[in-house]
Amino acid sequence: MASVRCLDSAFGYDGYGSGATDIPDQGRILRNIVEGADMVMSHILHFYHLAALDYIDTDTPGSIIENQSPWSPAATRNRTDVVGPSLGGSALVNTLVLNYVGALNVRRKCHELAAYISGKQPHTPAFIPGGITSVVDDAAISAMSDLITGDGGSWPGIIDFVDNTYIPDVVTVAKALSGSLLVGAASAGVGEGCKKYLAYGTFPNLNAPVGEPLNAGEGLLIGGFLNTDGISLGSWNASAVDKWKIKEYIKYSHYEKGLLNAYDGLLPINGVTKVDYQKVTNGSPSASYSWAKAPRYVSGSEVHVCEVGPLARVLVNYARGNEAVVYAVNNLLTGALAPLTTANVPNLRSVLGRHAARALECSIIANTIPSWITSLTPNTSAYRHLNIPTSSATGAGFTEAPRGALSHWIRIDGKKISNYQCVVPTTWNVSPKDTNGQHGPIEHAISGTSVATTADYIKMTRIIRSFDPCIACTVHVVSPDKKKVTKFEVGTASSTFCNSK
Amino acid sequence: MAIKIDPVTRIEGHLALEVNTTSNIVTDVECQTKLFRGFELIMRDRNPRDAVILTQRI
Repeated sequence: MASVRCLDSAFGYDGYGSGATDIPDQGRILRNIVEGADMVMSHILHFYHLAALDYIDTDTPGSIIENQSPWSPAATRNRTDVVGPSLGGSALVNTLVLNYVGALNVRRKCHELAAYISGKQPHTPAFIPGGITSVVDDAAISAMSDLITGDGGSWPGIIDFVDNTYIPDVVTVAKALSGSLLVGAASAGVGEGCKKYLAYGTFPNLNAPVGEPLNAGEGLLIGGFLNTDGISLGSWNASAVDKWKIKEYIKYSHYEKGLLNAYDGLLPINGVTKVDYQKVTNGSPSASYSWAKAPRYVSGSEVHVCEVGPLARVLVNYARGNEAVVYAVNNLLTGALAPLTTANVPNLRSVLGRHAARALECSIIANTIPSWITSLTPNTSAYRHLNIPTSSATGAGFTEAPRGALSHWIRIDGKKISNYQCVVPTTWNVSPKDTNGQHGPIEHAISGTSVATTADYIKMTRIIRSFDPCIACTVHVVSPDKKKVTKFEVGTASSTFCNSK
Repeated sequence: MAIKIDPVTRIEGHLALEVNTTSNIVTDVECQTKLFRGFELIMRDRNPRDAVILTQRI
């Protein structure tokens, strides 16, 4: 979505609607449906299939997964801070495991919904600058509607799963861990993070700009930069994102710094990505230690480390008064938990707060998809053609990937790409230190964690997973000497969670 | 004490974590992205329309 919006911007599309250089409104809506279905799918995937095993005693006696390797990693066995014998017992474990399995089917339904428009999910061929290639008919619109809200028969709908299974399960896990969903760093010793947040917003409305982050009234989720570090909730003030404040640093990344550090701290539109093999060989800890650059939001002399993702989106939208998000934060979780009052919103800055924000956002999006579907016009083109610009052009595309704020930047010369830079959400979250020595968001979140025994190492992986990092779609690198750096074992009763050195 | 978790599992992609502890409290952290993406290099000199197909999932 960022790449197609990046081309929209470079090709000269300047709005949505019926103007000669507008992306047809039908295209905007169809894109929102595809992006929405994908984000709902991804959030369910993250909670059930990536994170949940951190919170379930997978060796609970009498449960359907007792002794079912590889279901029972040693890391969660017989711990007190998981759902298991001491908290809910085997019946609750069985419910969660069955929901884990059921979630696979719901994810398939999400893909099915999007595929009526996109042809296939993920990695659709239907996205194109100027709109989307597909034309939907009444049958497709009706089928999509049944998938999201239920078919009146055996399929209860994607929304039903999100609101009546996913959110309650997040609450269950939260209670198991702490008795409360709202775990601050102080009480649990885990995961508060850098306390600064960046979002670009997505699901644009008709009046949204092309090539810019979204502001109030321009989308379902809007963008903003929010600094909560040392600032009390009443004074939280999220500002509109200035795209020219996004810069990338490479001192601790495996890239060339250029003459007089010319390649360090660049705007992405001018970004340079040149591997510095000498830095790769030297390795950590004194030199570079990551293939990720360190993106920062630079405001004057202040270089801000920013967390991106569902928590950032929820807090930014809450601070900017986006009604859908304010309502969700203030109401959706209150039935199941001790009331979530305005005063303890800052406690969402935690491992479980990230899971909660993801679930709330999933519900907001799922519940909005039906209104997009009903606003479609059957058998209507969703695409307007513009040629590749013949003179030099630049463009920027902004969206929210499930994992956070995503931007692509392009420079076109002679109808070819002369520079393309992607500043992806996980690059923000897993970023190494910047040139000023400031740690990245996940590094911040792990610092200060108490790890008295090897069993405590699960705390660190819980923190990492709460950010839902994605480092995939990449090219593998093997160290030149093929040195084995560590050993990692799970699954046998005697093994530790991982080794230490 | 130095602790290294490599790989971090159940995430998408390959990440290593190296931390130092003092009195059982984590005092220094390195998040090590263990692979090179290279899309910026792949994209150079291509037809702009290729960008949507090639970079769609990053």
